[in-house]
Amino acid sequence: MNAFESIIIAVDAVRSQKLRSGLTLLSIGIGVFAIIAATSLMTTLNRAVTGQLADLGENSLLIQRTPTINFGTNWAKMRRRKNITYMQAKEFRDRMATTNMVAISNQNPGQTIKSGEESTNPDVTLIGIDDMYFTVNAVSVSSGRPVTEAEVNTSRPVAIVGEDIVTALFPRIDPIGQRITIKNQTFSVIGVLTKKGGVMGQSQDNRVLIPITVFNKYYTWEWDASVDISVKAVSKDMLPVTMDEATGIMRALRKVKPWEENSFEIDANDALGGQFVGFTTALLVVAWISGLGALIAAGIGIMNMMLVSVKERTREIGVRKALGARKRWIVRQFLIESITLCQLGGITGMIGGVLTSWGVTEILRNSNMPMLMFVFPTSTVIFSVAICTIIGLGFGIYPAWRAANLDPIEALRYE
Amino acid sequence: MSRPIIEISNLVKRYEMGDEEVYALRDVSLTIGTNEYVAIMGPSGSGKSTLMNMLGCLDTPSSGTYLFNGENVREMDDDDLAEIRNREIGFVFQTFNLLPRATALQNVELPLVYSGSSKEERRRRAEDALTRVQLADRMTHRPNELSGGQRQRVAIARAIVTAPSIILADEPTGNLDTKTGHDIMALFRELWQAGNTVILVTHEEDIARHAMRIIRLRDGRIESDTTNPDA
Repeated sequence: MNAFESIIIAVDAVRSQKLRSGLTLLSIGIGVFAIIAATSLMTTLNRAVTGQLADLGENSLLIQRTPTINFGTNWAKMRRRKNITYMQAKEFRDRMATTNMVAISNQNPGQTIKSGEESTNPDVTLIGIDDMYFTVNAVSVSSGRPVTEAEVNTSRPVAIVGEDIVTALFPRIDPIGQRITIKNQTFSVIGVLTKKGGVMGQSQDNRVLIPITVFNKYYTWEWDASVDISVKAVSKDMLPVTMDEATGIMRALRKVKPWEENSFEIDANDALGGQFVGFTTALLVVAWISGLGALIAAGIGIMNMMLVSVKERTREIGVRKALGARKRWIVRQFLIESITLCQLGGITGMIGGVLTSWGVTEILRNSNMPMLMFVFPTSTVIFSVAICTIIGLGFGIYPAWRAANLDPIEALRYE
Repeated sequence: MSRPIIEISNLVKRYEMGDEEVYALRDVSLTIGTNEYVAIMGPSGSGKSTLMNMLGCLDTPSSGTYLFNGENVREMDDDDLAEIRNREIGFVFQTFNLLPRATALQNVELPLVYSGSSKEERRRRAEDALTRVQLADRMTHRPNELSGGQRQRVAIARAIVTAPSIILADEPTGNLDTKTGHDIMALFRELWQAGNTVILVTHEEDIARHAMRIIRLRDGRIESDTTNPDA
């Protein structure tokens, strides 16, 4: 008997005990749901936030239309804010006097990068940059060269790729000079970013930089999308001065009346990112603990159900043994049954979890967090399948062992 | 006499009930050869069931020897016993013991599943066996769609599908009406005439009378072992 037939028997057993199996499946589903939904949502949020904050180096400011982290702020008011257009940002850059380190950028996560037959996962962050990006954000290239001012001004299709992209697309060849495609636009690779490693499981090397002028043409959500401005003060002491100057210029450019509050966000890049990551990590830990708790409770439910099932099918087991089923056949049959049960519940929870986090991401994005991009939680899904298998095995082994060791004579006599 | 399949000598089965030792079988010696048709009779408590469990390799003796086709059953472990049951013994039970959610064909295929036959071979042999018990037109029926007599025929098909050395039937007509019971007994006779070895365990004289040899047990011992004059 192959595994497939055992699975059919298992599904059949589930169908014959709809209510009992349904309740057990539900508890597995809830556990998996909690883990998937929480991880997926937190990954999405973290990706958006760390993606924006982690780049900024010391003594730097970030100016954005709306705050990256927005808990309890008035969303309606935020939404009415006008975009910081590329033109406005350039005007701002030209007016800044206390520092000339001003970089304008915008980003769009969740891109797929292709080269020939090869393609990356759809989770690459595409960043539109100008030539100052490297200085202000302390970013450097390990080979090739950065983007030049001329390339930005003339919208050249050039790209600088992170190490993850190199690994995925050009594992054996020099990426410099190769062509890559992003949403049907072709770019030549002119440089490779110095490896940075990850923040909160999100790789800082899984990104592609292109001139912001090109970015604005093809990869923004709306026409004349809002850009981010990063400003680096010449020293730590100068940071407050630069902040005052930047605030003043932005207010003037955006015609904010003296009695009105800022129509943009300006933040020194200090502990903000760290706080956010700490917050989401805490939430994640809580979600995982409760999810795993639910799964263990579900495992006990599975064990109970399998024990009842063994008891009810004592006679069937006796018949199978009389007909020559060895112990390992019986063990296998019941193990596959409990694993199938767990997987059925797990898949239900998985679908629920993925749909929920996708829905929540969409709602948040449409309200005030346009930088959020749903990320399919591939590794968590794999983890869930694995943990369901482990629970099926772990809690199914004792009932299966009991079944296999029944005395065939007693079992055949069982009423 | 034909080549022996079952050779039992000085077989004892002892159970421990608390501090007490209960003897289900005391010193039973018995030989059954190929193509014999044997009925084992006895009142309840005579050791009839225990002997059947021994013959069917569901249990091992406490002492004495049991050779099945020359192999010593007493020294076998659970998996060896499972294998010998699968290969050498076809069971027919009083209560049929079919898997309720499987079709007649799937029920008959089951022993072949455990012997590791291929899907095609299982199918072919199960169809042959069901045809032999005149159920060719009921293969996809489930047990609850079949009459008692038909269920027992499915069980018999399951017992013969592996071409076992012995067919071991425990009160095979116990749950059937007289007419159907006779049909089933006719089927056993056919199987015996076709060269099979059939062992019936029964307490009904009417049923035992179909066999060529009748062994009577009492108090764990063989009381008589005679050729049936009526057969």
